[in-house]
Parts: sequence; structure tokens; C-alpha cells
Amino acid sequence: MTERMEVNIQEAAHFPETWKEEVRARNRLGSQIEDLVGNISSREVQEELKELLVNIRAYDSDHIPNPGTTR
Amino acid sequence: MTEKYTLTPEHRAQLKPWADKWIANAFNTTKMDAAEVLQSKEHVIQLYKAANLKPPSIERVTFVSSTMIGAIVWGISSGVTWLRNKPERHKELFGAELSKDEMQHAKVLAVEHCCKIMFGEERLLQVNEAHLALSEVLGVPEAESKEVHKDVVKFLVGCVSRWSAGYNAGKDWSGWPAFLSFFRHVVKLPLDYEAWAPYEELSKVGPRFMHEEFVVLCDRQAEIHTDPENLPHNEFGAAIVWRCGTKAYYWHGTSIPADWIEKKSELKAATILQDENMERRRAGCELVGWPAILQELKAVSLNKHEDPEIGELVKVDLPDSPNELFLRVLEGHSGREFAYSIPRDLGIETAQQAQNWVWSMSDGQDYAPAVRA
Repeated sequence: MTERMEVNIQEAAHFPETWKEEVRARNRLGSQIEDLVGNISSREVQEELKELLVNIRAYDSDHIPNPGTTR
Repeated sequence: MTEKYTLTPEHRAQLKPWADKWIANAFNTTKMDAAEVLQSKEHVIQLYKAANLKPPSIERVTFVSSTMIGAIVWGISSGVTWLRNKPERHKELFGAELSKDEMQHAKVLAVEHCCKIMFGEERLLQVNEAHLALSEVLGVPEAESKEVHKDVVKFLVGCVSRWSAGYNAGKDWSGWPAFLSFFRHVVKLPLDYEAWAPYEELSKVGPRFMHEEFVVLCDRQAEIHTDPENLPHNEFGAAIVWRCGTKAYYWHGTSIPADWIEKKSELKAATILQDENMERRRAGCELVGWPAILQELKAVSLNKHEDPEIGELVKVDLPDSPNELFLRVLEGHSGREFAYSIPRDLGIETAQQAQNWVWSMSDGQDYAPAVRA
């Protein structure tokens, strides 16, 4: 595939604004929570939950086979 | 200045049930029914509104049976939408402006290509589902042209390969929603949750693919099997099964070939030990069991350290490679056995020397498990 084709594919299949907005909304709420919660408590909740939520982050996009290969 | 919230004993006691609730959410395999699909479509529309963006019409929010079909539909729809909106780029890319029926033909060929990659020869149902969803997103298909520049098909397949650009895993990304929603529902922090609420709702259903002009919602997986550590794992079949028929095989979180499980009785030690990936080798050896592996290969013990975490150096004859060295080791914290391939040309004669090489010990120091800890 040519570089020109790659550039155009990236433009066509891009991160949409809604996607970026979701991240912003999530980060904004995270910051607002941080503003109202003491550092220690915020860290405690985050760390305890992370420990309790054993490995559920393993279910990420890595598990998804890619149907868009050109093989 | 307002006093900051401090975690109370009552709220701390809610952490475990809260985590359990979100773990159950992540592993929920309930098929989405019509009511849940409709509700999710409305939440998607709310996401756009929360972001002050123009939402697509609800007719262009389509629903498919799996993430893989979703990736195909989103990628091809993104490509076709871009081609429709940018006719001036066609000549630069393909030598001439494309007609509508050429685009339609390219779309058909791209669906065929991607479905063949994903589903093999038995793909009629998936091809039909993808076309149905594409017609919802892009409108009723035009007549097909007989010929199309192969680069147009490549372009659309290339858009599918970038599926992660529009992807949100929904319930599969339960970790962060669990944290943020704890402060909303348990602590009840006085914040404006309007922009967050639809995101939280969509964290309970299958994945979605977003675009400025359309959205593809996907059903939850049909099966998820895990070990006690929540890692995908199934000794007797696929660990994850999607509703389009796609299956993924895992051994304690390590992806392994389907045949290693489905045709376990035919699995040879040499196949496992010649795999290029160390984690997969370890998984395969655990799957078959080390005694069986060593027995099959008639491994000869060269040196055995008294500490099983240092291990045993063995020599085995692989089908195409005689005198291969392996260090068989017990991993202390997990109690699992695995093997390192040890180069033959380093003059390694003991398990300790092999461990020193594995951990790149220098200055004549011996590796000891405590050193790694």
C-alpha cells in the first residue's frame, strides 16, 4: 500500500469527535472527583478497586481478531 | 475552602460489592434484546448531545451481533462515507472519479474479503449481516458495476484495519467506570453527571464504533470463560465466543492456537517447544503437562539444582534440532512450571548457569529467586 493511500485511510477511518469528547468527559469527571476527594482517599479507592477488580482490564482490544488484514 | 471527602468505613465496606458488580458486568454474556438495543441507541444519541455535536439519526445507529462484524461495518462505512464526501480525491488515489455503482461493487468485495479472513468458507450469514447493517448506515445499495479498481477495495479494507480508531469496548472496559461511578452512586459526590451518564449506561452493554455520521453497536460476547484470576481461560474449548461464531482460545490469559485445545490429544511436544513465543510455550507445556512433554521427548537431565526455582537443565532432541537445551523451572509465586530455551553455544552445563544467563547476571553473581524479588 502506498504512503498516499495510508494517509487517506487514516483520514477516512479516524478518531471521531464523539470519541474524543467521551475521553474529555471522562477526564473532566475524574478531575472534578479529585477536586472534591482528599488525595489519600482517592488513591485508596483507586488502589483498592484496582485490586478487587482482578484482571478485568485484560479484556481489551488485544483479544479481538482484526478482520481488516490484506493477507 | 470546602472540606474534602474522606473515605468512610461505610463506603469502604461497599468497595468489594461494587467491584463484584462491575466484574459481573464485564463478564455479562446476556444477549441484548430489542428493548436494550433501543435504549442503547438512545444513550448513544445522548453522547453526541452531551458533547454538543450533531447526533446521527437513530436509523443510522445500527446493531450487529459481534465486535468483528462491527469492525467490518464501521471500517467500510467510514471509507465509503469519505469517498462520497471527497470525490476530488478519487483521481489522485484511483486514477479517475468513482461512480456510485463502482463504490457499491468495491463495498461488496471488501465485505467478502474481510468476512473470508474472519469466518473462512462458511461465511454466508456474516456476509448477509454485514450488508444489512451497511445498508442501514449508508442507505439502500445502488446497482453493482462489473469491474472496480482493486485499490478501491484495498482502501476500504485498510479502513477496516483501523477499526480501533472508532472503538469503545463498552462493558469490556469496566475498570474506569467502576471507579468513577463509585463516587456517583456510593459516595454521592455533588457533581453534574449529565455528560457522564450515557457513557456509564453504555459501559453495561456491548462495544460500539462511533463516527460523525453513524454508529455501530455490537452485542455482548456469547461466552466468556475465566480462571479464578479473571483471566480468559478454558481447558475444554474456546475461552471467548462471539455471536458471529468467532472463537478465541486462552490458557490463563495467554492466547493459544485453537488446535492446542480442540485437538489436544494430537498435540505434540515438539510443536509447543518450537513455538516462537515464550508465553505460548509455557501455556502449551502446562496444557499438556511437563511430565508428558519430557517423556515424549525423552529428555535427559543434565543438572538438577536443589532449589526447584533454579530448576533443572535438560537436553532434548527436537524433530529438526537435536541436543536442544531447556531449563525447567518452578515459578515460586504461582506454583506453575515453565521452560526456557537455552542457547547451546554458551557452554552452559548447570541449571544455575542457565538461570544466570536468563537473568543476565554479571560479575560472577549467581541468580537467586530473592534477587529477582
